[in-house]
Amino acid sequence: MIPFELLEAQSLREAIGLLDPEDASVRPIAGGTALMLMMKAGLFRPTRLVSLRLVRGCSDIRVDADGAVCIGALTPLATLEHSPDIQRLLPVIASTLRVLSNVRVRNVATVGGCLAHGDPHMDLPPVLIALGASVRVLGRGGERLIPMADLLTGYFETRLTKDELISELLVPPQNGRRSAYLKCTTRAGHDWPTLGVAVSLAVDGDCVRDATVVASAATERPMRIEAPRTLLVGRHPDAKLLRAAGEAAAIALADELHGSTAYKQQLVRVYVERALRQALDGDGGALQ
Amino acid sequence: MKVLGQIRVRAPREAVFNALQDAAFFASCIDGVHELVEIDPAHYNAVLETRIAYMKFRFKLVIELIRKEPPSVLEARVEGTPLGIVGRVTATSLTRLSQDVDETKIEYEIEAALTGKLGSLGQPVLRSKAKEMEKQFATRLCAAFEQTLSEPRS
Repeated sequence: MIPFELLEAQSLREAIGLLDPEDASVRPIAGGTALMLMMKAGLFRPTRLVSLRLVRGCSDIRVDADGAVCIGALTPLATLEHSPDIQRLLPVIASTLRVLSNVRVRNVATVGGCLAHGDPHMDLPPVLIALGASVRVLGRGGERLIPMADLLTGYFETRLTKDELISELLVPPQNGRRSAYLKCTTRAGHDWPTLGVAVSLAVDGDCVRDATVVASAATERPMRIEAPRTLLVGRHPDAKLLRAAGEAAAIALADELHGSTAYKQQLVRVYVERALRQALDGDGGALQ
Repeated sequence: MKVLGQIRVRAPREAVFNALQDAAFFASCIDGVHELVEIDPAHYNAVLETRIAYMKFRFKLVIELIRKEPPSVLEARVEGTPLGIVGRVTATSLTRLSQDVDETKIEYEIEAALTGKLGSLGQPVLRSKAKEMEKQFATRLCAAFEQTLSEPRS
């Protein structure tokens, strides 16, 4: 490994000051579960790492009076998984985390690090997009909010500039919306997904009032698919309609899928239908 | 991994073929290629520097022109060894040129294989990078011909 400088910041502000807006080889490091693998493989050779390990006050989970949830960027994924507030208000996040990598990784990896890494195979981004979440970002020029749907722009690419850090994840109140995340893995259940599908439904009586369907992993970045929403809104979600929604999603994504298009389309067709059914049944689990 | 693509250039096929077989011109259309050395008319060495997000890669390239059928076919084999990473990229590219009214249609097919740690990045990432490089190559190639066409003839 080529030697590099390791600096430990005491606050996010100090960390931002230690980053270099012009130099991509200067990176922040939180849990380091992804970055260390890239460094060990020789894919990333930093000149400086700014460790966020000593930063305090960014790992709380706060619930506002209206039910909105604010999650500090340095919250370990395992803390999120076991949080009673998350299990009560956002059960889809808790169930997704149970199949996100393994417990050793979840104990160390942080929410902000996981989102800033920008890997389209990550499990959390599609779920957070479906939930309408956004991230608060801190930089030299102040802070700004970026909707999760806009954060990831490509492979390992995000809207963050080189001297910006995610400080908080904000999930709006769900007001009874039903959500589910399903992932298709080719080996173990907690593996990287071949396809991830997250859905969030607002249902009035026996009629769908709103629907968000997001696909990830098989695409260059997590993508909202509009076609199933158009079909579902205002209608009773019976088996035939759910199947049609899966079909519509597969057609809409035809030009966005990598690998074998026919195979991935079939996965989309099946998993969108299953995820919708799971959300309607109130079982938001992230099983295969 | 197979990458297919098509580029259209507003120029006669012969002119495009001559440009593509000119190694120095070809290299100038790809961002990050330098230290191009001609070993003989069919063999070249070069260095390619490129980025994927915050990761920087430097490859030593060995290029061999294995088929040349003017003005329609060019086939080359490229072997890239990344500096500082265990791995290798090997690729064979077949390029076919055809005249389509006042344009030349360049159709290419690249069969690439990754070995070692480079493979851990995954094919989709490299496919996306290849597409980005193709866009840049097409822009520069077309710009070069536009410039030639607009230059006053003496």
